[in-house]
Amino acid sequence: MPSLKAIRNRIKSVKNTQKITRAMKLVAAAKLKRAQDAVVASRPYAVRLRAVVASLAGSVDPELYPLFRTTPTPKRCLLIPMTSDRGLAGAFNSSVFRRTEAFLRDHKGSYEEIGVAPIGRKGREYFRRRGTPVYTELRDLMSGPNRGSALAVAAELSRLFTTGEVDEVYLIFNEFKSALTQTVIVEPLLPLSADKLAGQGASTAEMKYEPNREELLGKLLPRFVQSNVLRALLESQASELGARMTAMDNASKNAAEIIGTMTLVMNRARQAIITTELMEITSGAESLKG
Amino acid sequence: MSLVTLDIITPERAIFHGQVTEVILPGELGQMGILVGHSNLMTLIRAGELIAKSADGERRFAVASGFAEVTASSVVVLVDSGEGVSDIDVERARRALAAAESRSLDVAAASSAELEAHQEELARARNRIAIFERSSRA
Repeated sequence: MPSLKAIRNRIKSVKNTQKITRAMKLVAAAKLKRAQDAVVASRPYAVRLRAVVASLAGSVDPELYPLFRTTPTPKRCLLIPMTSDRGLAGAFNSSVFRRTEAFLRDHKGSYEEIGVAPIGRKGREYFRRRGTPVYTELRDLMSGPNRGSALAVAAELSRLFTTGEVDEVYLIFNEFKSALTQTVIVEPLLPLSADKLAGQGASTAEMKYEPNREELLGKLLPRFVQSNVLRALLESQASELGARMTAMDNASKNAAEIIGTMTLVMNRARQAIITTELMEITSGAESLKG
Repeated sequence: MSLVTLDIITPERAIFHGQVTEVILPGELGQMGILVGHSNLMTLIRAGELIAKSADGERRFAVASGFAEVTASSVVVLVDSGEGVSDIDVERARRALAAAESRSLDVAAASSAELEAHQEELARARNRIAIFERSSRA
């Protein structure tokens, strides 16, 4: 049986860990609220823009827009796994890695080359360690997901796509369901599919366009890409905080359990010592009586 | 009096929703006033001042470029950014303008998309400053 002192030290250290996990849980919970609000607040724009793009996409020639360009035999594919800068978020990052690895495995034969351009420090470190070719590193997200960071990412990806450096772009990110569940999804970002969009377009009433449909759509498409990236970034952020909150809650509970068991062991050890001492005293007294 | 429902929405959040009597939009082809019963229209918007007039006065917004969808009873404005005049952070806009202007020196080699983004940035900052100054004079 470990000494009383060793057990006491162990309990103290677990208590300290518990303090930290509890604090992290509270911080994540507070931030999660804000992140969730941001996801909700960004929806009206995304929904509206999608509807308008959809209604226009059906009535113009998709050949005119580089973002619609489809390649019959795509050669180069780019994956954008969205990860966090910080760890201790449960399975948040590892599930993104798993999904990315699965994609690399499953589509090895379909493309000549599959590149990875991770977002987030954890992703950069992971793929560098694994030796997966990192195509480009999307940095400058320190300010958190907002229009500026979405713009930067969308602009870079659109540039790679329109210059023909890559033929397809996929986003891999955690979609926020609740603090307990996040599901990793693979979402095609580019090329935009004119057919798919047009299918969603509501029949447009008599509408006048200024300056004209073509130019209007030309201005809206980059914003549409940007809006999709922003949504993914926001979902990913909310998921990260949700995952961290859940993970830290579990850690705190586990710590409480360990403390409980250790306290029991400690009390037993102390009782054992007292009993032994008592025995020694009584037997000593007995022998004196002789 | 019949009213128009005005929504001003940015990628990050909705900044205005309400009933107004008239909306003045900074359209791509010039300013336009929208009253109830306007014919259906989809128009590009450039950085400028959007004015929403209602019974209790008018509210002014600085908006960046985007577009607006007008129907007989509603105006939905989707812009890259925007805020009410009282929310303009003029110091930030001045910094953004200074940063954008100092960068303009080395754009000879830039692509057209980059140039366009840069022009946008300049227009957005100038617009905010102009609207702020106009409103503080008034």
